Amino acid sequence: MGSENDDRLNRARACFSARGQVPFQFQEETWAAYWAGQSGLLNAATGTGKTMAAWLGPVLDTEEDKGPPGIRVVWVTPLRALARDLERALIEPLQSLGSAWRVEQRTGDTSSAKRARQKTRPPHALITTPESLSLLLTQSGAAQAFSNVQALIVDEWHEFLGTKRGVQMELVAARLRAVNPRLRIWGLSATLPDLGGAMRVLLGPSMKGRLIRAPLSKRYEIDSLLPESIERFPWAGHLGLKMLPQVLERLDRAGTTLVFTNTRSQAELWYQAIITARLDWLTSTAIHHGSIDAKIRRRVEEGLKAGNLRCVVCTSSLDLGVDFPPVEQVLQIGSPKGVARLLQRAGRSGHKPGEVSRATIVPTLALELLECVAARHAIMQMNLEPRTGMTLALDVLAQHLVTLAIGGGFEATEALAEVRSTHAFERISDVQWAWVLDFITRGGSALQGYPQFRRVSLVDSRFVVHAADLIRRHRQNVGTITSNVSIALKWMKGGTLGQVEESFIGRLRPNDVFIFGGRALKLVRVRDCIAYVRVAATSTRFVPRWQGTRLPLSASLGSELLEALSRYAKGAAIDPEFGVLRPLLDLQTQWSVMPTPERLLVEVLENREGFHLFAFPFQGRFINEGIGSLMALRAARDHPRTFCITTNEYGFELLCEERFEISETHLRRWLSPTDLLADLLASVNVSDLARRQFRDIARIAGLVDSGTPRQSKTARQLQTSSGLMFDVLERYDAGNLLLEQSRREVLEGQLDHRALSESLTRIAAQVLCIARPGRYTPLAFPLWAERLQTQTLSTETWQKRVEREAKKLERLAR
Amino acid sequence: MTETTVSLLIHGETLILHPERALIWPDRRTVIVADTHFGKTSHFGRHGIAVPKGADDADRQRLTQLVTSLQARRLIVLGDFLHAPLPGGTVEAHDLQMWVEELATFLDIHVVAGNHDLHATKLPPIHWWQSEYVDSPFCFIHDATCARPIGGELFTVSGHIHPVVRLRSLGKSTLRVPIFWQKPTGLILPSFGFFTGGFAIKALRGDRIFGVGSSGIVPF
Repeated sequence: MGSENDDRLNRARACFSARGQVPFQFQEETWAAYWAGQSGLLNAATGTGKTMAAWLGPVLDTEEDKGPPGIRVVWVTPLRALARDLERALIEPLQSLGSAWRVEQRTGDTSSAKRARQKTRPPHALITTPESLSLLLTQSGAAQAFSNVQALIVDEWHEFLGTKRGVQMELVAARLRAVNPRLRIWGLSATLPDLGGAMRVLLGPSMKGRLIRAPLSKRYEIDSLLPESIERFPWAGHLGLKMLPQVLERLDRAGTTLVFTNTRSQAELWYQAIITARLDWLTSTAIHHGSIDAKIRRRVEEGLKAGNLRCVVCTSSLDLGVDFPPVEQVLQIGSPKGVARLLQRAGRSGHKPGEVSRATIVPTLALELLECVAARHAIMQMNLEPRTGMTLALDVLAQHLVTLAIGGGFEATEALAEVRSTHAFERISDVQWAWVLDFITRGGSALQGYPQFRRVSLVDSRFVVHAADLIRRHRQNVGTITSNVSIALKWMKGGTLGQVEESFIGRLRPNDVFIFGGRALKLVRVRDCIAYVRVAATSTRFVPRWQGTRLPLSASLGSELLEALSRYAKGAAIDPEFGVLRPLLDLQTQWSVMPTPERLLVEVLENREGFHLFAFPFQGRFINEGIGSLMALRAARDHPRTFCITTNEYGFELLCEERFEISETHLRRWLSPTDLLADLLASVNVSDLARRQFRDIARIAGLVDSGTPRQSKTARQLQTSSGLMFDVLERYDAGNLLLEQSRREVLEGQLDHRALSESLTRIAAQVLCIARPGRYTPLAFPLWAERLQTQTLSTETWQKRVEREAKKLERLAR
Repeated sequence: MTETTVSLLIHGETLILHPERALIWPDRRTVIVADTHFGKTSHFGRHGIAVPKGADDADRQRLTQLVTSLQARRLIVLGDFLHAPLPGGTVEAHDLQMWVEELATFLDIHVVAGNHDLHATKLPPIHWWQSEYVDSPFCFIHDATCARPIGGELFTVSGHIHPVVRLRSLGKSTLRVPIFWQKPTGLILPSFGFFTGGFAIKALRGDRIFGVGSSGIVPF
């Protein structure tokens, strides 16, 4: 055995030396662990050789085997776009190893001819996504096809962790493990605070694993574009194109730049602004976001790799993935929102060994300069956001069980054991299990004695699906990534541009003009989930709005913000951003108090609008909103009154028409962590939030079809909104566990009951500082402006009012 | 009944907007509803989507109660009586037939066919109207935009759209409220079925909108 492994190791080394390289120690360690039959998690950054570390193990191990033909390695990647480059990377060493292995992709883009070929002549290694892998499990004979899989490699596992796709991945891994108990599972992950935990989620509670860390040689530098001066009264929501000249100057200086924005609309705006200012860059500047047609995106990616592009404006669509060596710098427009996210984006630059990965934050608001300071500090300390696996997602389980029932059927006891071998369902109760089975066979308790219901049937103690139409619909709906129904954008003359959300197109009328992919388009008509457009002559415009724009500031970054303020207050601030922020921060100190990790600032103010209470816990939008709602509820319990609650990333405002008494005793009671859950349930409209959360759950569990273009009439008659479904279930099937799950997801996710409780406990230990500044302070002003925006209808009048008020305060500050 | 209703005077006739999403023509002892979409839950069930069937039963009970409490003599359904054709010989088809026959013992049932009824079996005791049912001064029709110009000053009463308005409540939540939508030439009813969606409309100048609230009809 030992000599066998020595032989393998020598071959691997030879493969490296053929390229003039020597394997890193972590790579050899990973191979050895693999050959010893171990599973595990490899922590390494992109571009450090993790692919080879995970690949050569299985290649050299099973290449000699004389077993029946079949897939030996399944390689899962989070993005279809990565599959092609991965394929190239996996094929590359095979020749020098003398291996005859075939490597193929299987994604949503794979042609049906190729799919059929793969069935009769399976490749040795299959590169796929969790959705496509799930889909393969719906084929008859799936168990046979996967019975020879020796290794399951999950690339970028950190991307899956904590999501429903991650849960789906765990279930599929459990299935493959059940088919071949000797299966080895390896995850590849970027740095996370709890890597051991991340590994346990992937492997399940009972499988032992080996954690291998590649030394992180990479250095990161975070800086920012400093504006000449800042507004001391910054407001939320303005787009910050003000920094355009400096951005252009930066673009001039470097070869290739990635400009990251937080939203697709912001990407459109910046792209438009850049090409308008530099018309000669038109061919060397591109835009890349998730709604743009896949073909165009691929062209942009290829252009980036070839070094033909000098600037690409993009969203998280380019966060992940293959390296673009020509990228010299990364600009981040606006708040980085989270530490791990900024790290990932910075990592897109400086790929050559020894180079520094650098990200430059372009502030769109003065306080984002402070976020830059905070992020720099967090990266220095590697204070990253924790990620934990999701548990008991019954919607994903229901979908998975239907998948199994289609792909050959399952037996209840065996399936339960298999499901319980995952981290997500380790603790599923017998009642919950019985409910899910009942849900997919009889439609749940509300449908009992309803002979017409058919989905999964029990034949000879196996759960199976026979009806062809059900199988077809399930296959269409497999996948856990869900999004708002999107509409394809097509030219009148033919050709696809990409996708926009239905809610956006729904607001437009024919002949309205909007900007998409940097072009002004005129809507001609919408038919069968396709919006037909023409080039517009004019450019009065709307910028499409897409969902997913309200990613909150992470708690890690929030606490770093307080640390940064504290350093400033102590005079220990050295970051260059403070030079620009000085007037704002000094005015805050002069008129009120500086919040720090040791003290919670509460500002009280009375004016014509009413009685305001501003508080600044710096916990990100969602947690701040939770604290605000809780306080409002408890204050109203003391004395019935109505509050208007406004939240931003830093704090919240409670506005009341009448004056109310505020003392430390009151505040302590309103901010107490005792009875949190009960009060939280009473304070926010959980049912309303749950109804929205239900959208994804309903689609995953197969209660609502994901909109597919050009549906037949029968399909249309099966369409309903998840909201309506929620109402019907709530009224006529209140015991439905999916309803409970959506409430739980709201409490754990959006409201983050646990984090909220931790915040309140922390606040309980803080000094409460009640300031009465007599006017809006630099920290309070953005909240005031945000509230005004939700109250006023026209943007123009809103902007004018905010500017007027800011000028007034500026005068007072002088 | 304690719930608030609203009366309209149209061409000399009084019409009452009822919070059960129904229109009442008291002088003719007529109850008018639109878009009942009966059998929608079972249609979903047959295709593997588990919708509790209670919604369908409750809609029928609600309608029975409404016509009996008002001692109506005539029920007009403005189309989309069925959501999809009901396969014969099923429990649901039988239940629906029994219910229709029971109602027919004390009132006349008129159904103007809607787009969903095209291939449905036309249950016998019901008077089916292919395109519209005229009872002066009203023209009962499924989709008012398909109305042929008919002589005289007829006022159309229709369904099809399932009109709702979106109300913004405090914060970011919105509320969808089914409405009666009165236009100069006609009235559009909200859908009667509980398990039916709604289409958010944009009212024009001169239109009147009445929301169906939990405690009664609310003019906007």
